[in-house]
Amino acid sequence: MAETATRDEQLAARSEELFVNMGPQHPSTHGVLRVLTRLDGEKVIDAEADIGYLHRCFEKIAEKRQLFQVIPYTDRTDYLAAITNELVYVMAVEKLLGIEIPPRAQYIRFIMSELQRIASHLLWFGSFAMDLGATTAFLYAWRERERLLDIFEAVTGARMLYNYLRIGGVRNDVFDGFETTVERYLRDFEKRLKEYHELVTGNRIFELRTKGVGVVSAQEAIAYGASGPVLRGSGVKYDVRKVEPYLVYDKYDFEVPTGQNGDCYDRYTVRMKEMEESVKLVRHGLADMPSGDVMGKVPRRIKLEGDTYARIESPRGEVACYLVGDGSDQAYRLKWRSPCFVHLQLLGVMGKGGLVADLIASIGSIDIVMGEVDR
Amino acid sequence: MAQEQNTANPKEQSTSQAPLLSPEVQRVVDGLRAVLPELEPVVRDDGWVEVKVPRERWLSIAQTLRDDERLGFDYLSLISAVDYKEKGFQVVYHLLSLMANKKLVVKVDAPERDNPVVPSVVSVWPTANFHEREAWDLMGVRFEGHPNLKRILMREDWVGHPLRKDYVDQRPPRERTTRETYYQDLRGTRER
Amino acid sequence: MDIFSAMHSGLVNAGWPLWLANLVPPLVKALILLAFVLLNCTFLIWVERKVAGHMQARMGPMRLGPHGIIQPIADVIKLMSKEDVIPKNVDRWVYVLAPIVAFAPAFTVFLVIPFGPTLIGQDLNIALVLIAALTSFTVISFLMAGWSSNNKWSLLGAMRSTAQLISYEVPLIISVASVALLAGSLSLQDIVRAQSESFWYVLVQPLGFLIFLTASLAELNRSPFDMSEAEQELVAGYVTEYSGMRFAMLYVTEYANLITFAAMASTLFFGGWSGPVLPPFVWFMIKVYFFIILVMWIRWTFPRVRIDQLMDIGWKGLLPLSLVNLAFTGVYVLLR
Repeated sequence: MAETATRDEQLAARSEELFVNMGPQHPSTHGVLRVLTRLDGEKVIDAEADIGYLHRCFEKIAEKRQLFQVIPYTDRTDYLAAITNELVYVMAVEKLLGIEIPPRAQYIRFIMSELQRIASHLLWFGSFAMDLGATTAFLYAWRERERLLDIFEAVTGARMLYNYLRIGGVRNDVFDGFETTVERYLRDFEKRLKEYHELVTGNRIFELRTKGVGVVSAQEAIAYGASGPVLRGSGVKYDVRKVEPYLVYDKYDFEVPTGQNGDCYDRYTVRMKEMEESVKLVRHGLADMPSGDVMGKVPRRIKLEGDTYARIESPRGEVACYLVGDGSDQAYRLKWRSPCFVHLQLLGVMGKGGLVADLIASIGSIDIVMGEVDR
Repeated sequence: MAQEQNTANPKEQSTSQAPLLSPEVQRVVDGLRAVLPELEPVVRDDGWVEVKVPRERWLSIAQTLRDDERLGFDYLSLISAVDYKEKGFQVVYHLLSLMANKKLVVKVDAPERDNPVVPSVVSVWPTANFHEREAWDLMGVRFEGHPNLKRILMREDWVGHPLRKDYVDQRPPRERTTRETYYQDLRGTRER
Repeated sequence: MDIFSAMHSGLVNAGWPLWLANLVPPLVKALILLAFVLLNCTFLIWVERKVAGHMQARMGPMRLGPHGIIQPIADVIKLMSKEDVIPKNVDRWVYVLAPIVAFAPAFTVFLVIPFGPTLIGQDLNIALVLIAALTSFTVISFLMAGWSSNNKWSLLGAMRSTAQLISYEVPLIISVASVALLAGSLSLQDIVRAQSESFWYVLVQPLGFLIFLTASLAELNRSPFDMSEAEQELVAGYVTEYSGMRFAMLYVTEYANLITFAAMASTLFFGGWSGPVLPPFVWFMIKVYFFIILVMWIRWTFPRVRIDQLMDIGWKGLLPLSLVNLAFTGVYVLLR
């Protein structure tokens, strides 16, 4: 008995799935990321990330180093937000050892974290706009970021990978005139932020490229473990700085911007607003910074016992460190939670049904740093 | 001195004598007592509640943890695999109930060294996909029920699980290429 | 044109055979136009980089010569000195001909563009039709380049570009036709004369001008409509397999097309060479460079439009608008 093929089979036979490989070297993916896409004509059916090209055995190395020697390695995971990474590791160790940090060190860490958030979001803004074709925004963002990097260099000695935080405090105090320099920068930055909004945010073509693109619903975001701007862009108002405050975040009131639809445009708006909030937080920090030591008392003999989980809100999401000690002065197991590692699972969700250009916009809106993904 | 597997943070508080628990921690403890009384929650002093779960029951307990309203742990933050040498492996799950701000640590033991198996929770929390792949890749803990358990960070043809404490690099020593050996290769006269 | 008739009679008197003497004036005109186009294209390489640089809060080329003015010469020398590589698997003749098919029509268009009241290669009375026909050659050259590369992705990029170019030609030509209706002639010189006697057509055809501008940006494959050439796209575009002098030819063609657009915009809508005080050629060049810089300004400001949105804008937006514009123009001309 001859059976006629069902309509689905006919359709499947007619449309050929095209399997396309993007990367690992590619001008638009941020770092060495390989995305395997299945296309039906121009539409994306599925997108899967293949990672591991930047794996540098960070966790294994951490087991073989002294505690303070691990700090430069933490810098190099998320190299665009290095201070926040150092912070989470140092917080985990301080929790296990029960070390108190002097208030001045707390404020310095606080201000540097928020400045780092501004720098990281600026870079993201530039590369996101450039992915979509607005090359000029990239150079404007870089101009602001250069001044921030100069401030970082003056405080820590390095522009991007600082090795500044220590177990018990920070390495050195800030320079004289820190407050005035940062305040001047913030004033200029606010003006420039308005320029960016004029250039990119209200632009009709930008909205066409980002609205309704890469939609992640709130349930999907929670189920897939999203955090940071990706989670907040989908409408879930969750910020580790509010929920589990560390440093001095519980002293200040700041807004947690959220989006409604979970598309690229919402994630963009969330990050832009976060920059404004960071400016306010830095101003608070500068006003209230106490004087005193920058390094607390650290016991002579270090015995790491037990395990702990330290979480912070980095510009990319929730970075966390699970640290297990075995009574020696080195970590027994250091496990790093990287938000971008988790977000890459969302590629299939974001890309489904859109075009390749939309997939590129979605990848850009996750703000991926491969150093963090692969460690 | 390896950390004893069955103890949590030595500065733990037993739930019966803890004077002041924050409301969220109290809710976690109450919920666990109500829904899963066979587990003994231990309150640590960093705000996390810790339970040990036998792996045979882990999948159903995971579903209960997510679905029961008194618990509602809808967010899996991290899956870590720890190598405790003679005691085998332990898989640690950090769970959150996002909007209720509840935190729970689940520890599942896999005492055998040569082929540790733990049920996969991808069907409960889809985010577990990459975490479990990494635990398999680097530690060799197999997750039953995972749809796509293949290496994620190492090369596909890698042998061994690098993060294990007894891992030995089994790659053959690399032949060094110098200028002389390069020209020998070209001429076909290289001595090996 | 007196120089040319003088040249012609001089040659005939000197004993040259007639057919040869007939060839010389057109040849000289062509050479002058070629020199004009090539010089301007070379200059435009520098202009683009400087304009981009200054808009991006940096300075662009500064090393070679004062403010980098010699940079394009260095670029040209570099491209000319490269080895002429023809990849093994390409379709040889199509590959070699594609840049020529791209450049020759782009340059021929300048024959009918009026640089001044008497400065024109040939005042054809069907100039607009000729221009429309010649600018369509870009489509063929894209397809030739993409096809001959024997590379799946180049071909895809070329086909995308072709679809884009064809879709935007229709509103382009319709908006140009509206101008021809107003002037009552297809000759560019007549259009400019009509404007110099009354008013610039942009004042009565604002919609037409905007349609012309948008459609031309798409025809030029420039941002915001350069999706088929973008690096961020999977496809490397139709130019992948070209290097050295052939690439230089394709590159120059792009700038020649840009000058053509600027010349057309100023001729059709902004009065061409007409203007007070200054000599007509100077006015013409001022207007041409104004449009060139406008196009560059647009390029460095806007993000890229997605390919399907691009097609939507062309067919669902520009085409109906241009038809409406044509209808209103027709009514206006009838009632005039």
